[in-house]
Amino acid sequence: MRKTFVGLVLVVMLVASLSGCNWFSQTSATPTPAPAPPPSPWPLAVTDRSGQQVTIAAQPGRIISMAPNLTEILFALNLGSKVVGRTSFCNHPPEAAAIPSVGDEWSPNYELIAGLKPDLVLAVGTAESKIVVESRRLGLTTVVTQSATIEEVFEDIVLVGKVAGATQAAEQLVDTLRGRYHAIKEKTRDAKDRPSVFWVIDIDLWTVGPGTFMDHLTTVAGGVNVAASEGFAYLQYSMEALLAKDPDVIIVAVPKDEYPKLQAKPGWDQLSAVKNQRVLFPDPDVVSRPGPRIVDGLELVARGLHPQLFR
Amino acid sequence: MDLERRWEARRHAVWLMAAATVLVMVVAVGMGAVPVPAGHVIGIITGRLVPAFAPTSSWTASHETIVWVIRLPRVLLAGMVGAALALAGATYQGVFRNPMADPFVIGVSSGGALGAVLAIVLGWGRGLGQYAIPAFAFGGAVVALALVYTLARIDGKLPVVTLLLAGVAMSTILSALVSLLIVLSRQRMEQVIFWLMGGFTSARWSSVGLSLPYMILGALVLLRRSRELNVMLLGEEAATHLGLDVERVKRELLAAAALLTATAVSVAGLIGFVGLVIPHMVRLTLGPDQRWLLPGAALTGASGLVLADLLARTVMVPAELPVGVVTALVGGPFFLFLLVRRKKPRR
Repeated sequence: MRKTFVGLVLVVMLVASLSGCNWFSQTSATPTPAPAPPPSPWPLAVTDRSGQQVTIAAQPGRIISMAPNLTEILFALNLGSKVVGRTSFCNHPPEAAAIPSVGDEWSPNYELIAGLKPDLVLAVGTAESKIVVESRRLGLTTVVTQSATIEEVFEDIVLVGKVAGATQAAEQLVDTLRGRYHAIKEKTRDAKDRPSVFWVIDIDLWTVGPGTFMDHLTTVAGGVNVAASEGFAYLQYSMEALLAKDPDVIIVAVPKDEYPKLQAKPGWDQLSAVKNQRVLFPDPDVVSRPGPRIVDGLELVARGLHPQLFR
Repeated sequence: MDLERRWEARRHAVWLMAAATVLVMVVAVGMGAVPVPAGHVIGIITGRLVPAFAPTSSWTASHETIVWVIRLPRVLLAGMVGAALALAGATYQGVFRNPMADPFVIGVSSGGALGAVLAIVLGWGRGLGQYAIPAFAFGGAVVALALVYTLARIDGKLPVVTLLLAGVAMSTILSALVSLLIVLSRQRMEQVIFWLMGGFTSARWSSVGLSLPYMILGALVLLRRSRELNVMLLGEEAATHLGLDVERVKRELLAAAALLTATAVSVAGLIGFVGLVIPHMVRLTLGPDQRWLLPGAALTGASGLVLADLLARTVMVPAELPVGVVTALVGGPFFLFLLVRRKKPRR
């Protein structure tokens, strides 16, 4: 049993390193009500994505971001200087590296979190997520985000902007992103063909099924995820099964140094997508992280699926 | 004369272990990822324990949270779990007369794991909130044990060999179910794996309070039965000839050890090595007399696991190592050292 666990740990770490965020859940809680706030919104009461009513006493000056996508959002809203703690997965933007890390998203160091005296902790998850439960137990103001679709990413950006005191910046950012998002959607909607797509999220051919963020991205980009009708959100294909499905496009979302191992797998050369050079090698973070770069990721995938539409 | 002196020496050794345990716990409360001055630590704890004597607080609220909400329950829980696992391990080794026996040998760990995984993956017991996982782990451990005991019972007796075999078979089946559930639910995989690796990151006062009564009960039964366990070491047949109600004593010992293990598993997950090696370490220093071995193992298990958890949370800040990794990496070589030193001819 032990050995299997070690193997599974490695798989999990791998997924973490390439995604570093929680795109697992399919829940779509009620979005936050978004009336324009009056000049001084503090104290501010919001209902976060865990369904919890949270009151933020004053504009937060010390924020801990417990997920890489939240760190990206905070920096995109020019709030980077207020972030006093981040996870070890938070690798973007590069300036984030200067912020002290409190450990990884799943087993952070709660002593460090409390020691940083944050007046706002931002997390991804649900009311039952360990980080959320523990952070609230320590008496810290904790706001939970959760997005399974691009629209929900926009909602999360607005929520983060609101609780962190940058409502206007958030709305501006979302306006820009939404404009680009709709432009891409319009193009792909009229595409005549719907190429079949297989995602490789680790080199042992783990892939994404229904309800996942990448499955959603594929659909919006005008493709069909070959694993979309499987019963699981995450599942493993054998090379045989992959050859049988023989997808039009393969998207390899694993770290660069692992490409050779994947390409050396027996049968890989026989896949049509490989023969036709329709394998995409995006930065895994850009296509999987529900943050401000997700529209870049979408554009990348859409362009790969429908090169003729993006000339 | 010589016997008396050896008795005295063991008594001193156990007192020394008790003192060491207290010292280790004090140091562990004083150390962590965030440095808190010793004076503040003492002030915070006395202030909470006897509000009347509360010194004027010169520390911050976050220091108080760190010491009182995070560190102290964590250190206490690690101590309790270490003592429980070492006691249970020593007992199983004695009852089975097998040096390879550990607290998990008859299926407690895999039963507890299956219970916890059902709670994590399928969301069983949602209504119990934060207690769902411990409750299901405890339940799983108890159900697995009951099954093993029932399967192994022959004519009202519990032959040791049958018990071990039934335990091993049950462990294998339950572990396979756990692996299956993990593979089928990748989105919860990380949570399951962190639980299985064991640790004290979510230790809290309620876990200390909830597990303490079971631990005290199990420990008292075992410590009171240490004399009978000595007799059982002679073999069940010899013990019967000496007038011991072997089946009854065995049932009591196994039930108490199982209670300790199930409680430990429910609050701390699967922490290996402590229950296997601590009893051997203590046996190497105190000898095989269970009247000294059991209290010695409890104390050494407590200080050992507190120390391992201290290392786990301080050596790689901000990351925390799984405490099971530390117990094996630090405890293993130390145990081998004791073993090799003992092999040398004595003068």
